Amino acid sequence: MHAGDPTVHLLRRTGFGIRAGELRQAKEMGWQTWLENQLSPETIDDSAVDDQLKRFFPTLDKTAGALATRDRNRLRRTMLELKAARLLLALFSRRQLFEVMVEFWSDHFNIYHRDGPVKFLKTVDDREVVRRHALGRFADLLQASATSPAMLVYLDNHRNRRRGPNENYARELMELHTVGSDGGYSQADVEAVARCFTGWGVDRQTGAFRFYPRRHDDGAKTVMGLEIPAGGGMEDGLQVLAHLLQVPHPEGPELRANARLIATKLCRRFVADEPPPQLVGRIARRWQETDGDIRETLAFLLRSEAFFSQAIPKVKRPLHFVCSALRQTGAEIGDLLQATATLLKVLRRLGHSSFDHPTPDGYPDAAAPWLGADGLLQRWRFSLRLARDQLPGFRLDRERLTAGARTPAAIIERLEVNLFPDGIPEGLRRQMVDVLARGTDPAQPLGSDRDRRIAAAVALALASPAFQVY
Amino acid sequence: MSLNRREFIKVMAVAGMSPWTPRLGWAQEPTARQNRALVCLFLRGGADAVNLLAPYADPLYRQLRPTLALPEPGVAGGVLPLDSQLGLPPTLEPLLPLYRSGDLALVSLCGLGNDSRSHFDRQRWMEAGGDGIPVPGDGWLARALAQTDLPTPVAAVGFGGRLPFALSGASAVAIRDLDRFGLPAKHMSALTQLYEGGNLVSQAGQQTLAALNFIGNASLPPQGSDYPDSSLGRDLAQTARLIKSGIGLRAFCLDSGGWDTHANQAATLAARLDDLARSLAAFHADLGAQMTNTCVVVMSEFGRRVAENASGGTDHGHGGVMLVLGGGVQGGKIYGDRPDLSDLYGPGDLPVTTDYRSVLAEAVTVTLGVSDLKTVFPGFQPQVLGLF
Repeated sequence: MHAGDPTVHLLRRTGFGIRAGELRQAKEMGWQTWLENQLSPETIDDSAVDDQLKRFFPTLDKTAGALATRDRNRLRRTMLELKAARLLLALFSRRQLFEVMVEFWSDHFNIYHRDGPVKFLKTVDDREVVRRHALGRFADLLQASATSPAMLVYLDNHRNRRRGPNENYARELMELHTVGSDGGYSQADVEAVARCFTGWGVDRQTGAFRFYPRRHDDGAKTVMGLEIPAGGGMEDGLQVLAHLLQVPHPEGPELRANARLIATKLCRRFVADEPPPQLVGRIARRWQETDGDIRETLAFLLRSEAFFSQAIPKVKRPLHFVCSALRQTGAEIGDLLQATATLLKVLRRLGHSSFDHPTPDGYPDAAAPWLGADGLLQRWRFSLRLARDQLPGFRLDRERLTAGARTPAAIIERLEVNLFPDGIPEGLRRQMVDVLARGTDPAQPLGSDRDRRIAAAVALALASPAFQVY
Repeated sequence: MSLNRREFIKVMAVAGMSPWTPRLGWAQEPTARQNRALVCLFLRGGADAVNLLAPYADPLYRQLRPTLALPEPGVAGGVLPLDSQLGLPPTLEPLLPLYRSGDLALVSLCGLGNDSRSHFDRQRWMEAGGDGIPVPGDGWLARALAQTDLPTPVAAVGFGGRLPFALSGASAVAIRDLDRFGLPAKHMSALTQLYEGGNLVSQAGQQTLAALNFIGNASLPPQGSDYPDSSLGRDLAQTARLIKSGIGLRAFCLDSGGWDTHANQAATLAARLDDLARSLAAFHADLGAQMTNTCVVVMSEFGRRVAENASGGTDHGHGGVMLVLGGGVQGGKIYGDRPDLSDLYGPGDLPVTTDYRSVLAEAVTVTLGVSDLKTVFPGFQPQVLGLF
């Protein structure tokens, strides 16, 4: 259970690591105002990072038609730019909560980047589906996803036609996107939903969504109790999307299956891997009352007393770990393209490369799978390299990180402010003193190998159990 | 030995006694048993059983799969018949010698009986060793390993960045690349102090450090040759190195992805099967005589619909095929019931008539010396297949 400073807790849970200065600013304005701003990302000036993205990554704004190509180098470039932008925004965007929600929905509506034309279509999906609706209404997000060419290709719906329907999208739409695997649908429902989405495809010329009436099965269907009369055309699919958001959960009809699913995932993301059922129930009700208004539900959750009092430490996923280490040490980018190449390699090794999860369930949002030997080993290696300023493309200014402090005691104080705003755990503090002072008086200034000792202490801090959780 | 054992099992079964009771068979040779290893390979995505073990003589095969059915035996690219009804696709040709020499067995109409067709639920349930409800909170292989005498600090390895759920709760580690699995000694001692605590992260750290000491410092033989340059090929090559090193690891979990063939199945499945066959054949050749102590079990979360869809693919089905290789298996034959395409299950799927746990039960009994199967597979009574 969390008992520390509420501002620290809020910033930690709604971002990719607390940057120096952010906490001070948040404390000055009060956490409520900070949260208000984060919930209205359009009011936060993010031009610094946006300008960089525009300058270095020209594919991000392009249409599918302009991006479409079979040229492998151009495809590779399009993919790299999207992955790099994802990283840079997590690192430098001031709209941290927004970026956390972008990551959340990218997992919820997971699309595998390397699947044929998805290589360029995902750029459009990221912009027009995930980012456009990340804090909007879930119904809009869902419809945007259902008509997203990247999703249609990834889950084979662009091939779904009257004669021999393809069930791939239909099943994942119900299981993963809307009602959940315990949401009370049957194999017959999957088949009916697949028929409703026959004809939803992608125009080969423009790479845009297109409904093909001649491929559509216009017969009558029944989907989870909803009678869909014959002749509905594209309306069939739209009706299904709306209906799936309304169906009651079989275990408690007062709650909709979709509300249960999303509330559980939101609480898992922001509160605890095994979220308290009562809290999930409250969030689900809010989701229902607001008709799936993401911003409203999030505001309700993050302002609730339970968000602070029922939180259980979560293990950072690799993207979060890497970003928080860079943000909290104040590492700066020297060469942008080199830095992003470094990070992409690090994240691949850590098994958390953006948009590279092959199956539609998205990367897991719970501790256990991330704590295998290889996962921790790679984190430890990364900590060492960052602390020693050995990450190509990045610069770590240890002098600035420790604000010129000369004595072990003062250095630890500075590292505490930046890396552990809630306090350094006692055991870790003792070990940091050991590597800094090496048996001498911690109040005495260090000699010529001060910089190397700081590097050792920073490596220890980043590799510690305490820095793996948030 | 194995023949006697098999006869014995049959006698026990006929007598109505559970043959899977303690202190039978290999339980009497603890040292020999400690050299045995179990390799579990999960084909993620639902591998199509109909073309993996093709019912080529059934006239419905070609009717239901007008474009996906494999050509007749004897024709170019045709089925490799195992008997008068069933055969392997030509991409599995590298496995044919292993089948003929009796090292490879196939179990037909095998899988998890639960009616769900969800990848994620079924993978989780099968890795938990259950049938859906309730789901055990740890992995079946972890519970099996808990019953073995484990003198080593690490009992099992999962390949890839994340530990598979089957090993959840075991003294197991995830490894991506053996040659990069290590840290300088002075960091090890600092980290050992840092990770002294009792919470989840600290325990994981202790496990990692133990693995780094144990596996990272072991002298491993070089990689054997002829493995395909694929993720499965690399992982099996690493598995072989660890087994050949003789350091005493007892179980390995490997994954192969890309089996969810809703569209363009012909090309995709052929590539997957080719990779599977060449990887397993290379592993078999690499281990040589040690293959008798190593049992590979191959499974998937479901088989696919018999009828093809309009995208040249197949949707989620039910019954699948399991493969058992090496480890003293009585191979060269097909276990389980034969598919009958005129008698399909649900929306047109192969049924499950042999529970996947019956296969795993025999494999862990023989390979790991597990005696209490009720703990490994709660509430399940294995059917006696006599695979070994």
